[in-house]
Amino acid sequence: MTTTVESRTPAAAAASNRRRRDAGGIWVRAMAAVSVLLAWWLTSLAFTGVVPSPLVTLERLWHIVRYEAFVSSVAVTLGRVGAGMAITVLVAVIVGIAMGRNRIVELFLDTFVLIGRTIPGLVWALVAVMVVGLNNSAPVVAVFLTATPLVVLQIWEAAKAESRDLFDMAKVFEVGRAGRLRHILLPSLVPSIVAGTKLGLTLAWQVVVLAELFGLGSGVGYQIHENFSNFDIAGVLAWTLSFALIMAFIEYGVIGRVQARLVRWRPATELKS
Amino acid sequence: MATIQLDHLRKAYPTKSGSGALQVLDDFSLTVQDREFVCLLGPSGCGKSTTLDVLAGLTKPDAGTVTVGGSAGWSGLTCGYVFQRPRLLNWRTVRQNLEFALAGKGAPRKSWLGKTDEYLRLVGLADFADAYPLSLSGGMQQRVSLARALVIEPDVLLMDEPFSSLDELTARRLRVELLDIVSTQKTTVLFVTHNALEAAFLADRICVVSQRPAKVVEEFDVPVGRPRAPEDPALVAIQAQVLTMLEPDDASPGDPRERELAMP
Amino acid sequence: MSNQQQRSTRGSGAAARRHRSVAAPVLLRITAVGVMLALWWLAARWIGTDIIPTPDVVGGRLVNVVLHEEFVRHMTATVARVSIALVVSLGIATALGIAMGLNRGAERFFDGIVLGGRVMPGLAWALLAVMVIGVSGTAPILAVVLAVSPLLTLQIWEGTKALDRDLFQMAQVFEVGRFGRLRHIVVPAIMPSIVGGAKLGLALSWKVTVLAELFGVRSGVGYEINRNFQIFSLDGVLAWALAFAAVMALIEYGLIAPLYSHLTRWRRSDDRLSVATRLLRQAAWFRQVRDTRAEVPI
Repeated sequence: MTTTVESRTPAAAAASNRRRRDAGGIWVRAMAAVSVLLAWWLTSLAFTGVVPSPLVTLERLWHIVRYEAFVSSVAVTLGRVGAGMAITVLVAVIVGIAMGRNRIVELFLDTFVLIGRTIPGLVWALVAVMVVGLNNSAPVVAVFLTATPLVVLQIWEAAKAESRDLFDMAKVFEVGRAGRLRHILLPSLVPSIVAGTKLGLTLAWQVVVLAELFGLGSGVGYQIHENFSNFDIAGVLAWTLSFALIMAFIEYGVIGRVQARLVRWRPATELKS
Repeated sequence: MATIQLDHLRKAYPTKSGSGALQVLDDFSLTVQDREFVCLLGPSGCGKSTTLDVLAGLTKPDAGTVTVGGSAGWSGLTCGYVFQRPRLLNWRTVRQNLEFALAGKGAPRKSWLGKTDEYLRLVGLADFADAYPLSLSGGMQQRVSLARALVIEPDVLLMDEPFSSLDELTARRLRVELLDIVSTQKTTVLFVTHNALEAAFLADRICVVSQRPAKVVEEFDVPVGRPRAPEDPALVAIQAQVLTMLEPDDASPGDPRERELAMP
Repeated sequence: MSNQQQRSTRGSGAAARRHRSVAAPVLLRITAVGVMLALWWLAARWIGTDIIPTPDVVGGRLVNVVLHEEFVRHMTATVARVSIALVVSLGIATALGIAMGLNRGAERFFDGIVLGGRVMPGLAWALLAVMVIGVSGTAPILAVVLAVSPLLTLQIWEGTKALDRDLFQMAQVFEVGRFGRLRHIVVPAIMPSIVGGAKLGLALSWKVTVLAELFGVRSGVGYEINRNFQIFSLDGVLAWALAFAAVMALIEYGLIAPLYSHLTRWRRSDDRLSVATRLLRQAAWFRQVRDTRAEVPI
């Protein structure tokens, strides 16, 4: 019995898996990275004056971090992403639970969730800039409109899943309504809330950058736009690459860790995606 | 005094087509005396689980009354229920699952650690107090469910085929433990099973329930003193008696649900 | 009563409920759309129709776009770019995905690149392609290929990895050659992930194409959307976006979905399909699209 439990410990299994995979592959992977850089460098030689070499891009990035408003721009954009996602998740949790528990609400809103999912963030960014104007709320509105259908979808499906057996159990053990909500309904939704947030975040930061690109006076998108207008490809590359890396770190490093912690009760096999 | 009295219960469910109704309980009556251990024995699908659900207040009967301890409903008496499937909160550790029931009962927080330890040891899961349910095997999950029902030290214990998913050795040990606990705690038990030998070993009285709509067709007292040995010839004799009672003479021969009863 | 029984009775309750309200959902959904349009109309009147156009204005503009604004020219330009880019991406992704799924060395070499490529947003590729290639029509194609290939490769790679190894041993026993194995085992088995990838790729490629067109190509839907944005015509932006989304939905449900169910017909036992079954499968496809966990950025 002990072995069953041990073999299912998620962290250990994943770690040993990773170790096994990495042991032989590290050289091949290093070679892959070198080849990518080499290909980039050769491209820059072929298109001299158009495509900047890796080194030039790196220098440009250093310059940006050192002398241009890197930190403040990133902070502004992250603030907008954060505000947009906070509102999105709040609304999505309420709407998702309502849709999952009430058939009429579900029928009333499902069409919009499905249609909303197919409208690209690009359109919402344009609409938000045109309707709300060139101010801080525009990107927040754009994020809300783009990400909400997506996050709602995740929570709605989870809230629909039958939890009557557990509610009955709680009733027998005399757990009240509040306790049932807090200990049964909400925890059963946590995995999909976190997954939805992660998914929404990928969309959110690109929508914010787009909205900034379309005319806002600050943020990473604004900086990209400036460099784009000056035809500074190294600048565009440096800004996008660095910000994409920051977002990837937040998504996989921070949120991924939170996710692993919040749903640590699930066996490793279910944690994968 | 936790005497249970079910009087003239009726319950029907709508059928799949939506037109007719499936009469599960029709004029079902049963009395369980205080501190008595009664086994409901009958074929699967005959309405035993519905009886427990009605008694626990989870299902409303169409007609009839439920009396526990002399007054309608559960006035102040606590109920422990071991469901057929464990129904654990997968996001809480084994210990936290037990605490969930303790909190519902309003047990003082200081007593929680000692109580959970005690009952987890009893079901043989002392080492798994901090494990999450999904990392346990099905049998272990069922034992957590049993500990959860016992930890609140209920006046009445309802059990719905609690040992059918366990291996026979574990089930055997747990049956002995169960008898021990209910006799020291003076619990009234209503135990649903389709295993005749299990019923004979556990019960003071066996009520044999007919195919749908459920009805107690025969009662057997088990006049064997405790502690009992599982291979006691007297118990085996009672088992044989019960099985003859259930032999399909007018029921459809070869019904797999009937045959299931013959296998302990 | 056994657990099974209990579940079936609960299910029958649900069936009865469904039976009772066969027409109600449709009515409710229609009401919902009506309410939403009314809200839109009210918001437009309240905020000002010069900022938010009313639904009827957008509808009128949509008709005008289709009839009088070189709809066919721009639409064909964009659809052609999307199709070329998608075909190229699928070709790259299929070759790479199969290689990675079957060969450990290839997997190690490319997995970092594929995962890294997924982190790069379509937006970045669109900007870079326009800057490097200039305003010619190839910029969107390059952008899409760079943005979509990693995603598709990932799908096909995973599909190949999930292949049934036992079938390979079986083929070996029956002395089927390398080429035969590829053709009769690998390709049919990963067809679903290829078409599933095409579906995902389509959703992403049209967005990236429009984005690239927006940043400086002189034709295509993205160009028109940008032109309307520059003259502050929200009804124009919405009308073009709606028209294009409709065409893309038509391609997805009219072309890729039937293709998918055709290619995966061996997954079910029945061979000849009634119309009802086909409709049901469409519904299943719809649900699958809805439930896709992999979300398309931008």
